[in-house]
Amino acid sequence: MTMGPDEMSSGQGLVDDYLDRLERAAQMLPPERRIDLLAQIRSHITDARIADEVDSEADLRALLDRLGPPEEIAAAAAVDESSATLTRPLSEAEPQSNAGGPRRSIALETWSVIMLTVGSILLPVIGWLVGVVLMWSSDCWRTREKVLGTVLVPGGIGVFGILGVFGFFGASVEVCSSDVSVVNLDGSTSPVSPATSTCDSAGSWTDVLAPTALILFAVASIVVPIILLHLARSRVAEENGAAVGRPSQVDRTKQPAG
Amino acid sequence: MLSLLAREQLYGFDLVRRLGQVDGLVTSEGTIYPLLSRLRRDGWVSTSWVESESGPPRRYYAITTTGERALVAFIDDWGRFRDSVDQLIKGQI
Repeated sequence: MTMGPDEMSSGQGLVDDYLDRLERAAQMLPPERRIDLLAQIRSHITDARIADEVDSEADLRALLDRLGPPEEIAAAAAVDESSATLTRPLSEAEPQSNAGGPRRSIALETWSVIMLTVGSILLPVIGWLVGVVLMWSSDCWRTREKVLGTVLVPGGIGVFGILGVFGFFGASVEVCSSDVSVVNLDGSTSPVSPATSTCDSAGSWTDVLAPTALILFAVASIVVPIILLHLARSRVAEENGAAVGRPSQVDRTKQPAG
Repeated sequence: MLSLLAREQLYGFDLVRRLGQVDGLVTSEGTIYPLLSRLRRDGWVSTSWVESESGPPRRYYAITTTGERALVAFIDDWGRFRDSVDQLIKGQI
């Protein structure tokens, strides 16, 4: 470029003026849109000065003229903006207010419940954790409901299954079947019936409580997520304006068979 | 715009200049940029930044599959529209 220093500065002044006008004209645009537009035009001017080999103020003016009056550009952006607001695709709508978006789906809540139940069996602990994260990130449930959901099923049924098999049951079995063998004089061993006292005193309390608690937790780990899902469905159905989704279906699954 | 991008990915500046070359289509180059942003918002065009040795990174526009589908639909509609208008005009002459 062969612009002299004086021309350079006045040339830059010309550009700055232009961009100032553009910024002022674009005030009615949302900030993100405005910044974007300014960046696009600025970048265009830079590229054009090189491509057109702009080396005089006259050339620069021609370039800016070709670009068009800043007011027109801002107006074009504003027109697009208003029509875009009216027809904005659902995916772009702000996630804050669900009431604004039509047909809110409960995919998130459904997946959360699936992970809390089935997921915790297939992927112990991890699956359940995923379910918990999804549950807390949903806005369908109140905080206290989420707390209940987390606490009443810690680890999910998968964990309790494992605990039950190796932990509680194992402990009581151990206590009760600690074989005491007597070595006979001839070398053979004959088992002695386990000291019943050991079984009764140490074992009885945990014997009854542990499996019972286990069963309760196991049931809760299934029932609680299902209740949560039912809550989610009825709330979302209310929001969507449709009649509440048939609760009788879900109620039937909650009741014990028979 | 989409038809130009359908063939290759372009820098914003190149795109605007090419469109400007088509006679009678563009009054002011600057008004093309809002349209590009609109295409991007509608998901028909995706953008990426590419580093360039001569200055700041430049924005690079590419058509998306959704955009391609929209283009095909438009070309279809346009063809029918053009034929209808031609028929009407010929009828009058």
